[in-house]
Amino acid sequence: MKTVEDYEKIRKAYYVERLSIRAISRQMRYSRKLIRQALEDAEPKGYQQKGARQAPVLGSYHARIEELLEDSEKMPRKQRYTAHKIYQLVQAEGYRGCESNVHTYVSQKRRARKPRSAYLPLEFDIGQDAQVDWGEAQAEINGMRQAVQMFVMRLNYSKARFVVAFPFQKQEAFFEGHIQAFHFFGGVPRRITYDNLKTAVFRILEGHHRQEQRAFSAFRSHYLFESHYCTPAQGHEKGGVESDVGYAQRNFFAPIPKAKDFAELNAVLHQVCLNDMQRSVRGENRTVAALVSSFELLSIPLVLGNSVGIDTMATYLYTIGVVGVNKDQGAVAAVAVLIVLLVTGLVYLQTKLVSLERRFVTVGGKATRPKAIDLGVWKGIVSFFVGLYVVLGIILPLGCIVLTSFVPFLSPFMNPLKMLTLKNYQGIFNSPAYFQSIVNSINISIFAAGIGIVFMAVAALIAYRSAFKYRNAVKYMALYPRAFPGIIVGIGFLWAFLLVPGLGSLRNTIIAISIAFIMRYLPLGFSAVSPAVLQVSDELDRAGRVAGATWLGTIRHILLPILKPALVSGYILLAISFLKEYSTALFLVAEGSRVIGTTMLELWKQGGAEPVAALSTIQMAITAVLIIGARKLMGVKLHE
Amino acid sequence: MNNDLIIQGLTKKFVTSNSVAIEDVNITVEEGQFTTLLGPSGCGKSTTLNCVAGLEQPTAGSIRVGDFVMTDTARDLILPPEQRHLGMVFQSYALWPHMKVFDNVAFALKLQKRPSDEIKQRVQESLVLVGLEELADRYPFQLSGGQQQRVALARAVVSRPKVLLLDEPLSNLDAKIRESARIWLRGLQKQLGITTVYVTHDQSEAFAMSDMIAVMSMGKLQQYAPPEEIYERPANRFVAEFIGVTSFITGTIQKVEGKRGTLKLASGELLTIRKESKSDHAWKEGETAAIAIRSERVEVLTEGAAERENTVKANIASRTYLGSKWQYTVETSGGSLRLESTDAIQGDSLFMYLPPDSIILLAG
Ligand SMILES: Nc1ncnc2c1ncn2[C@@H]1O[C@H](COP(=O)(O)OP(=O)(O)O)[C@@H](O)[C@H]1O
Ligand SMILES: [Mg+2]
Repeated sequence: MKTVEDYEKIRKAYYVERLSIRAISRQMRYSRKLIRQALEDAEPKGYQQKGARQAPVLGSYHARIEELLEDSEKMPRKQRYTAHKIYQLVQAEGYRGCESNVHTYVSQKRRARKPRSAYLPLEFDIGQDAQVDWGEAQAEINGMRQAVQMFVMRLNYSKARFVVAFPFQKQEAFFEGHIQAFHFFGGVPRRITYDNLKTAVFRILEGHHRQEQRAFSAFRSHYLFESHYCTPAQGHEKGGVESDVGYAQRNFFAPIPKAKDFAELNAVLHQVCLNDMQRSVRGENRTVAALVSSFELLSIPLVLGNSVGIDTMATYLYTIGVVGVNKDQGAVAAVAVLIVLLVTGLVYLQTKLVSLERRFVTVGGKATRPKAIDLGVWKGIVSFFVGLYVVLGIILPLGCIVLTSFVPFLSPFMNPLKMLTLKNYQGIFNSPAYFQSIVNSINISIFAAGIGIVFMAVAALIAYRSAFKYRNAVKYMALYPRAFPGIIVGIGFLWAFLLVPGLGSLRNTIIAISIAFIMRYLPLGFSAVSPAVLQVSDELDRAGRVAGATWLGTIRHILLPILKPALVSGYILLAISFLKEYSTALFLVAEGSRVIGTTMLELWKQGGAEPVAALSTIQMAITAVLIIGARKLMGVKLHE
Repeated sequence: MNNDLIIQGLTKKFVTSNSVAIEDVNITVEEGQFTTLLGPSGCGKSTTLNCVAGLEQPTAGSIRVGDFVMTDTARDLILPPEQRHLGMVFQSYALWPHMKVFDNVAFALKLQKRPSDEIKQRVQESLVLVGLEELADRYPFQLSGGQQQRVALARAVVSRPKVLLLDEPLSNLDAKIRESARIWLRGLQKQLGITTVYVTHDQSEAFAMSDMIAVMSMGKLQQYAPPEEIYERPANRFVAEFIGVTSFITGTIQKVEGKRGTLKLASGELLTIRKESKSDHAWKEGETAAIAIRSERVEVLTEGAAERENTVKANIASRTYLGSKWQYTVETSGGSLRLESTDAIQGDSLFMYLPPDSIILLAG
């Protein structure tokens, strides 16, 4: 008989470290059967929830409440239903439960209906580290002042707090606090630190008895987080760090809250937590923290790959700004400034290097025929290596993704061809939200990339082919967005949409995302088009001018047609990038404006590589169609 | 009504390189004339031409064709190229690679929104003119270099400009075709009677084709004259050297009598020189002056002829046998020269006879 500790080890190895069943079996010497069993365990054995978290009486009124909320939104602001009004309405219709449950449900639903909180993309992983604290506070329940037990979980880097109160100190309450916090944050942290816990509290958590210890192990095993303790003696010696309990006492329990029962008290606390989180968005010197917390988020989707330079920078910021209890926000800002300076220097260098623009001219007015190079004896060898590259670098990995997308799970022990299924695809297409994200991505790819490439071409033409006084500034500006990770571009746009009057209405549309994507990829498109512009001899433009065309006419009749292949490839490049992009969208996505990238993250978080593979396959298919379609439609022929 | 192209006081400074590309260039090209800007690479020929075309904006100066003022910096007037109605052929031909020959030629007319039959007819005429009427449906890369160059010319003249500008149009051609292309191009220019400014660094091209040659160096106009005059009477040492004169002698002007003068070498030998009516060089007694003479005009004398006038003794520094003749490098008191003679001369020295009519007096 194996213990929960074994189960925990197995589940961690599989889900967190992503070892294969075989590897686990080899390394830990468990039978594969046992491993499968451990992986399938849905609920931790030691902890069974007592009673539903949602008041059952309310359950049958959910639909009605949502209906009321919907009606309410169509009314003038002043006449909209308050939670209390809704309570009265459902009460009139026969609801017999308490009012606080209605409040909780209403505020939950309101939140879901509202354009999502800018602060934290809740669907995604909430980051690496959290702290749990436990303490007492005073509250007035049903007219009686009493001590309540307070569970506090705080995400280390974003400082988002969740507080819930219980009448007693018991392991069950602890677990319930965790679960509610996970729901509140929308995810499970990798590691939870139990800092400064009093010995008694610590004992409750870990338990005296073997039975209790096993329960905690099973709990961790189910939610796949690691626990970490600081010895109580070290306690509060780190100066300046306010204990979470202290913070909660001062901010959430003063003035002393009054409630009919614990459900109502917790509904109030829930709202306070939400407000607290909103406030941290609005500034309070936490803006950098908010940025940094996004790196927490991003360090997880490494699995999806990302453009190299940017991730390195994110990780660097992450290291200096995040590790340690005190974030060094000054250092983060300094690094950002440093990066901007660095990029400025590089752009300067680049403009210097290409300043003698005529050196790059290869498309002269003297036409020549392209010649094929005869490789002679090398022909066979070159073909072999090209072939090898194609197989190893392209066909093999892509093939695996496609295969994964058609099986319930990929395992070396089962013939994948025997368990082919469309389940993964059905899962995606049956979810309106996922399907919408695919449609959105396609629209953004096709249209935003088109607008984007035109915009970038105009920028390149002004920079390299005009007498515009500030044409050099155009070069700098076009390359600047390269300095910023996509996530920062996204946050920048979010703020722009929030702060600039008139832009607010765009915020939840794919237009917002398109604009952000175009800006994000401006350097890419600009760099794709510029060499082509530089390659075309300016004698061709000059000939156009002398023949009687204006500057614009020359661009239109001569340069653009010559640049067409470059523009089409630039377009395809942009379209593909837009199809893949997720980091810029993270902060901008709203209900109706999800894109494939964000959906992929969501799927990944929900576990299982297979739905992700299915979505990837869809993405690849769209990419292929885009490339072929663009070439066909625009009739690009490089040579006659 | 006269349609001369008049360039006055043309100066162009490049801000970027902080250099003066051309300085105070004055050239008048008479209507129908073929003028060549000749000079080594980098002397400012293209800059001059581009200023005429409106592709460069001069720092100072004026350019006009008859009454049509295209540039006048005093009035802050610089017409953009598309308003100048000129024809231009570029060194690289600058054919638009995405257009067929027909469309390349038709481009200017299409911009003028001419009716399509007229366009067809005039493009056809132009292509017939350059002998390419068969190739209207080809793309530029399907043509040979010579054919591309002719398309470029057809394109330049299709809208019947008053002035045709050509920037080294033959320099991309093979040497063999180049000679016939010269003759062909000059013939065409005469047939059209079009005022032409032609840029080249190749002096034989300039001499073969031009009515007038403007020799340029370091951004300055050195001499503007018909080819014969440039050849016979280069104005200064630069022009002389550029057209292949290698023999120079310096001395002091001793006596001036009307159109005749005497140059005294350091050794005391005297040379009679003749003043040309057209040259207005310093012609003052006691001044240092240089003369140039074409090597082939120098007569190498055997010894004993020393008493003849305009004979100078020279020491032989080196001799090279070239098969049919000998080449000598000799030194006089006024400088060294290179001479050729069929005679094998023994000894260390020789005598040279410099015919007075062949001596060119150079500007100080
Ligand atoms: N765009 C430019 N920027 C700076 N200097 C230039 C530019 N174009 C030409 N020059 C300079 O002006 C001088 C004349 O050039 P150009 O007219 O092209 O000579 P060429 O007689 O060979 O046609 C050269 O010294 C050249 O370096
Ligand atoms: Mg030139």
